[in-house]
Amino acid sequence: MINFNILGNNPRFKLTARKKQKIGKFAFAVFRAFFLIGMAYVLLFPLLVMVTRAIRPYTDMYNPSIVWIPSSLTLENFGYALEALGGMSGVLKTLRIVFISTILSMFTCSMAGYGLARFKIKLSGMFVLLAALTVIVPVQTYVIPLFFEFRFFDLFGIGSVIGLFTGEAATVNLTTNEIVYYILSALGVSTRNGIFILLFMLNYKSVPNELEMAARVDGAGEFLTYFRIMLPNALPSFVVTFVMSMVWVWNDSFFPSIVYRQDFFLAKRMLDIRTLSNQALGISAYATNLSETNTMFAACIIFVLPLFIMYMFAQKLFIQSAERSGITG
Amino acid sequence: MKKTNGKRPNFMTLERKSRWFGYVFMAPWILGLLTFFIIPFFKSVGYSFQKLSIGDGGLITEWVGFTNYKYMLFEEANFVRQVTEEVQALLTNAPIILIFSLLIALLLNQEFKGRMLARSLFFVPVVVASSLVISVIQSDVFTNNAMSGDESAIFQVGVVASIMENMQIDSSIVNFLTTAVSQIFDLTWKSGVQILLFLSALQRIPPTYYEVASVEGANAWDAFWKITFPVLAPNCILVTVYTVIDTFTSSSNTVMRSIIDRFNDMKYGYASASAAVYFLVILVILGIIMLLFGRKVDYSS
Repeated sequence: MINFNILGNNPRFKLTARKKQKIGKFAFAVFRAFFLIGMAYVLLFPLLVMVTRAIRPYTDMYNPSIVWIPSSLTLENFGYALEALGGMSGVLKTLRIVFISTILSMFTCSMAGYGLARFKIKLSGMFVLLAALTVIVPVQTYVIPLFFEFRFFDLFGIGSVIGLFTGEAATVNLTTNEIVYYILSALGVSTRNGIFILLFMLNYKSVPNELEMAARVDGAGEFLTYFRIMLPNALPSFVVTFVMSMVWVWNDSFFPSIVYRQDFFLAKRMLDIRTLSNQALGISAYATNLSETNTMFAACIIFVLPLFIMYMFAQKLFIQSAERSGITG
Repeated sequence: MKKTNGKRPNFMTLERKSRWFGYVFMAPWILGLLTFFIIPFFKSVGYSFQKLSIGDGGLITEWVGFTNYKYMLFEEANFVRQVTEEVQALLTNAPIILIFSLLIALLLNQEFKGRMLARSLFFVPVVVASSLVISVIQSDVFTNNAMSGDESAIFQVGVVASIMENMQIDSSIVNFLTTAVSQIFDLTWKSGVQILLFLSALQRIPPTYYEVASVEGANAWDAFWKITFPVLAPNCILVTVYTVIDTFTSSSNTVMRSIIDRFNDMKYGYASASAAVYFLVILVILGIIMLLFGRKVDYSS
């Protein structure tokens, strides 16, 4: 055998080299620990401040001796915040919308990604570019026609055909209906869905061809092959898509403030009470309560909590999947 | 001759069939693209030349030519200023975010105790960070401490700054340091996804590469520049593009907020015009990024 390690043969060198390496490693570990702990401080500090401020009573705000530990624990801030956010029903409704549209766009995107990755399609390059463009072009650019599309919704022109007879086009106003979300995500054009399509495409491309061939030889059709063979192989992409889509739809306050004009949507509600508390208007009971930062913090915690709980459960799976799913191409 | 003629159509149908199934899988998405992306996009460009109002049965449009654009660019002072400010902020932030997230990803990629904990911690911003919550944190947690004293300021910036001023250090240096320190928060909270992107690329470098390098006598520095960096180069572009899109479309962006305001004021044509110009600016910036850094990158991998 050839020994590559020339230094290793000399006992004197071996000792110093190893010692050097050890010292270097130790110094680096200390540096890394310091750096990471410092960063962890930056990440956790605001959350800690929020929690400790949210659970203290109103009077503690004016007591300079109280910094971290409140004089007594209270949930009244959460009560005010929940009231301002539209109560438990608003939270649950939002959660339902976000969850259903996430599931829908997960399946549409995985199918579109499969079509792009596994079939010889003319202009597939153009479709990849379009998927990227749906992410790059900000919604703001085309949100206005999008709004009118839903304001005067006309399924495949049926409404305007009726309009030829009655003289007035029969259109539906969908802007107050949560079906807007479901239509967009079932068609794979909801918030940042282009990223998911590309993600699935890369994931499907990395699945070995033989698997698909074997299924075909065994007589499975296109759809059976897809659902039985390909779907399980795309699990990492599904996990990443699920988490990211939940986060992005949940946090998006732009779409609900322009197209989907319902007040209960939590992100929009947050935006509203934020502007209210900024202006410190005393016009209503909850506006005065909201001028207290404690209540604002409680609202933030309520807003973040569902995603946080989801992350707690999905965390290990999510990080491993994100690493495996070829997110970067 | 006849035999091949008999076979060829058969072969073609197989391929055609497979292509057809490809379109079947993509059908919902293509429909969505057409109705809710491509058509609205071109309509929006058209709207920007018009004055719009809502009537009973639909839209009432009135052709006004370039009036919206003229008003936005030459008469109203805000729009141009807001856009240039956002672009300036991006130019300073994007490189810092890039380097910072690369550094963190390299650290998190190493083997050490509590690596899993550190990772899940750094991805908390990915989940929690809505720009709204960040804005609350920034304005209320860090600045609004009149009631409870200065204790909850994240770093004791004010104290250190006053000490430095007492030591008669030049105020420009003090200012630079204090802004740099307060940027650390921004950085850690805005680079969650970017760290994720880098980390997933790092995970896919086979460890054998590094083993070979160390056998060949390369030190860690060489290994980084010869192995890690070339693999990460395409990701640098991806991360930069993501950063650009993220900053330009977040709801805390001033230009975005002014577009929403115009929309709420029912100035639809004007809002379309400003959105179109805004998109053009973004496209130009992305184009510059691609031109500067995209040349050497192989997209096929």
